[in-house]
Amino acid sequence: MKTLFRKELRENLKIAVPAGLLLSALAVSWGQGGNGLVQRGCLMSGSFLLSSFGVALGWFQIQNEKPRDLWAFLVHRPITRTEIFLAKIAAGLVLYSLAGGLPLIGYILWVRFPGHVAAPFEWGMVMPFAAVFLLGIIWYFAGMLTSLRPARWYGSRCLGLVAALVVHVITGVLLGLLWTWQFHVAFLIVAAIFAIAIWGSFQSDGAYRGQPLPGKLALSLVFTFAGSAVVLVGLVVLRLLIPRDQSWSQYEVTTDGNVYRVTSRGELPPTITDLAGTPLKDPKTGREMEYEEFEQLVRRGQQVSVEIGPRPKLTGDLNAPRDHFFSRWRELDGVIWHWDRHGQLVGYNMLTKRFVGTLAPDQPAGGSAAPAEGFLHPQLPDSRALAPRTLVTRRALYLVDVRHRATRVIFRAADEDEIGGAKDVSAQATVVVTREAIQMLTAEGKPMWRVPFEPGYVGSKQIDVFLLEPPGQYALWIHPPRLLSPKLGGKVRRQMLWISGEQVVKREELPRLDGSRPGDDRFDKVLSFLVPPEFPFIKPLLFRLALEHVPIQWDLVRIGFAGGVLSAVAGWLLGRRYSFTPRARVGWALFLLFSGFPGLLAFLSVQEWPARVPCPSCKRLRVVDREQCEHCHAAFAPAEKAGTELFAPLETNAAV
Amino acid sequence: MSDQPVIQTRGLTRYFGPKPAVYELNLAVPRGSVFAFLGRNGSGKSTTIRMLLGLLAPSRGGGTILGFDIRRLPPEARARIGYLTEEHQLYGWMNARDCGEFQSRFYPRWSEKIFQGVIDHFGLKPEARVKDLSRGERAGLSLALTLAPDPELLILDDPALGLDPVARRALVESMIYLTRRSDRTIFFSTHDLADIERVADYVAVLDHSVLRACCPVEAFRNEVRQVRLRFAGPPPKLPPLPGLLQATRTESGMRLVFVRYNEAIERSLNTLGPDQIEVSAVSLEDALISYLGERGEKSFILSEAEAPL
Repeated sequence: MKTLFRKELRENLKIAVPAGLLLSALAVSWGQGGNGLVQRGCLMSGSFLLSSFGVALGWFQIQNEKPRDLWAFLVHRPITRTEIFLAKIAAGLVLYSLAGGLPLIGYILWVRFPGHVAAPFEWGMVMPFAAVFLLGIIWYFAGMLTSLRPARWYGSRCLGLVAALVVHVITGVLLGLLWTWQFHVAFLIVAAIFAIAIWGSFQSDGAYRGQPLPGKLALSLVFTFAGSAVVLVGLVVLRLLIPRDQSWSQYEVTTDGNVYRVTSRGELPPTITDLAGTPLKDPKTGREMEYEEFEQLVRRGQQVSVEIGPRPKLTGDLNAPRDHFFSRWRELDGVIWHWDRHGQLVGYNMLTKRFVGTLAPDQPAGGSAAPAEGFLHPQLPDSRALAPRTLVTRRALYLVDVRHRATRVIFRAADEDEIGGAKDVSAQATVVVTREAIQMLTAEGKPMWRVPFEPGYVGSKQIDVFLLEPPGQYALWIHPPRLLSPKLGGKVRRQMLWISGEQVVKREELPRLDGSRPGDDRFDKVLSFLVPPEFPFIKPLLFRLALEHVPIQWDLVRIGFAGGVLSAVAGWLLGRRYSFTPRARVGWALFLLFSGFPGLLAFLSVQEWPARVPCPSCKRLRVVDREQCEHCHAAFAPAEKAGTELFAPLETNAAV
Repeated sequence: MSDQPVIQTRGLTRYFGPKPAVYELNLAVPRGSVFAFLGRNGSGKSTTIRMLLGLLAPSRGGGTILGFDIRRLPPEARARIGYLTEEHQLYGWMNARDCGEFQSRFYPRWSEKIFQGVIDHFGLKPEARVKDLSRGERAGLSLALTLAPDPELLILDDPALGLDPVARRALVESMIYLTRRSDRTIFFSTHDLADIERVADYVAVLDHSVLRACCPVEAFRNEVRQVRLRFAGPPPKLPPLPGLLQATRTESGMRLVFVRYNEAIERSLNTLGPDQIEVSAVSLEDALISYLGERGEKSFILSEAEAPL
């Protein structure tokens, strides 16, 4: 095995060396920017290169020996197929780790040591890169599996790559969660399934038949996973191709505080109506106002995110891992100040890129210990022209003076209250949202107005604040809490408040907008029918990740189950047609019951369907890989005699 | 030494789609023999060999090689079997010495002497890279790699394919004279019929996926006979004749090749009213060509012959 391992190392250097050089060049280019370990761009470019390297390495490790006679030369060694598999995988992973891992380690160390990056570093930041590295291993396995599978049908051959692509897309979407250990465990499980599928394929030269059961199961799982993606993409493409009503509607607030509903239907221009449904007229022409003109009147709300009580781990931008570790707050006098996840400001000299100091609540500058109660994740002002002034803890709002490295409490919540979020909405005003109320404070922390939450809106995650004309007029949108109980779902609507001076002058619940487009239900039903039947149960869990409550839709469960049953029946009939053993037939039917159409796609792809020829005895079609006819149990007929047969006894054994 | 056949198959069958590449093959190869496996292109020789070595799964049937099930050949069985492929594909980036070192690590009975002997026989330089070798030189290197582990059974899949006559002769000589041993079995497929007479003890013939002959070489030669018929005028149409392999017409005669020629056939021929019947032996090469060609009245030559002259 060592010999084969060394041969594999030497043989695949031609792929590993260029890949290593490319990755090193990429890492050098990352060095020109900030902390690339948690930057989306660096992670994406790194993952692209590592994945490409992985798939090329896996593919060529098999393709090098794919010519029939060279493959025979390889496998006709006095070692087991498992040893050949292990030697190849070990060499591949060593090459991948050296060529892919060394540049990454170099870059990590470069970021780690002071004077290189004007941003905080902690070892946890390595986790997203580690995940991207693991992602490349999944591509490596996918490349090897694809190369190993017989090319009877290229579509089925590429399903391994499709499965890796799905993992990659999920990773790209959830990049901000890669620092969690659960993702690494998930990666390892997926990689293990791929590895078992490859190991199984090695036992049978890539064929399904002849594989040990774990290999068969792993291969079917990989292909089912890919089959789900194929079905999903097919449906989405179909949906895009079929013309449908592209209607949507939304609320807009004008500078004078009026609310309008903007509705767009297909290709028609959007219509603007007030809450009573009366179209908005242009005062100059008396005609219905066009949207472009209306936009000039619109005042955008400033969004304040609110988080009261225990904070879920999976918050922030799912796309940006940096959001979890640190966030740029402001730059002043050549120092860049980052908020870090320990709740303090960390300053770095932008020229020397060296650490300057920290600033924490109730703590003088330069302290190194993390504060007991830190600043909450800052919400930067919407306007780039406006420099952030304040930060909040759960208890107090602080005016932060980074020039003098000092903090001062300008507002403190009542003992039983808790701050959920705050934002500087203008040079002179900050909105603070607590468990009990929404309030606007001056730059010195004096209250301008205070609005208590109404029952039903406590726990709201988002408040939109509108600064209206003339000054001193405000409007608020209080969004209903997203994680409502199913009983309340749909009953609590967006609340709008108008404030003048210190008083609420009007309060109104906005009618619910019809968010779902016509055809969405139908799409959901078709989707549920074609994806694995478990999907209607998984969907609410996925939405819960985004803190939205979606109940289990039992009609979709029924449809999904029908898809599973239909797939199981199709599998059973195919098994009968091709004379599977009763055990295989039951096994596949059960598998298809739980995997639905994607499983059926996998079933059709992995099997080497035997030819069927007429039985000379009963004349019905019988499979060629059974000794006896499945219908009449007759054996195959001996070859027809040509009359020129010439058999004679051999020395030790007669020819039979 | 065991009397069990080194290779034995029972109903070995392989389909590619609905077409059988090998059909119901029942074969037994005696220990210590040199066994020639013949057939035209596409007759199923390589498919059979690949199934014997567990490189291709049979559609049905099975067999044993050195007593091991061909579907599950363990490493210890592979260590006892030398396999030479027809394309002689090796790792192009290695040189001859690297190839030898690579191969030697897998085989405890590796003989550097045999390896060096065959290499020298082919005039190969140890530092020559495989990708720079000619086909004949690659064949020599492949043979050296196959022989040096001192295998008990040597399976050669048309090893001389595509070689020039000199290289082919060198390969066959090395293959046979360097390795022939009473306890070693050599099973080889070939297109070069001249080799068979020189080296083979037994011959088996696959015709359109079906085994049609399996016997000692001498028996094969003895069982194939050529019959010349002379007529006063144009030869008459032939009746169906058992064992007819080939028929060639001339203006006033016919040349027929039979397997298992006997008195019954001669009586049938006499009914045609020939002026003369002359029965003679044929060389093994001619016998094999007749056997491997299209049969009886269906043969191209016969169709031509039946047309008016």
